[in-house]
Amino acid sequence: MLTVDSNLENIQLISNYVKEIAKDCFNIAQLMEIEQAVIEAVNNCVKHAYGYSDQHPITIQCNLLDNNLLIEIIDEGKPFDVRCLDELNADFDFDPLDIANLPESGLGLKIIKIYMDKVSYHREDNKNRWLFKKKFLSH
Amino acid sequence: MKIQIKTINGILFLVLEENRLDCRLAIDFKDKVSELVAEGSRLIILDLSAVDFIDSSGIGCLVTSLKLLGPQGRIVIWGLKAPVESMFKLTRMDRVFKLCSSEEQALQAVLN
Repeated sequence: MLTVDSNLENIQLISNYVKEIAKDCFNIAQLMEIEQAVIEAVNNCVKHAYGYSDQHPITIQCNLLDNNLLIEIIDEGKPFDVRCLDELNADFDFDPLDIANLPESGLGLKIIKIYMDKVSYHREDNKNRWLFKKKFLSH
Repeated sequence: MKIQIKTINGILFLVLEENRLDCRLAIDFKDKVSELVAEGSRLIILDLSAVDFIDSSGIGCLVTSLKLLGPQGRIVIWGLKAPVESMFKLTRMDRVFKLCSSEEQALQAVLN
């Protein structure tokens, strides 16, 4: 388990922690997907849950269980509206010529949904708890 | 943020000298483009060859920059490493930004 302050400078620490646990179970391309998803999730904690305020805790817990990598990301910031996750369409369907309406945000959660096999969220004890699951093949 | 900026014949050449275009850099990048737009720039050639990693905030700041440029604006990007290019493709932003393999190709694309 790793707990760091909600400072964007700490993202690399978190990413390294997760990759260290996952490295023997996934290939390089999959490890990049995992890194990308974790970084997007931690960005969201810093940006949305804590509004860029640092010195708040972000905890990452990573486990390998039954051919799954389980990543739990916990923050104590503002609650997330879980309907956004339920209703999220994980494709990037926009008109590339309609510049004014191109998406500038909200891409991170879609990336997480694409790269992880399962994404869930719940609020408990005034904490946001994100759980990601990614399957791997046993050797 | 380390960025090289030069203007030739009204075209802004930006060279991002950072290995990550991510959430930490996104606001600085938008602010810099906003400053340059206020000075009249509308066409940008962006060299991302130093960048190894881009996240959704990095992509988002490029979209914001494109919007800041207005209807006559264009951003052409070149020098993408494979992981960065794959993020443009995943988010389908390769349909929004012209991606080129060389500065010469980028120059032709921005003028067309």
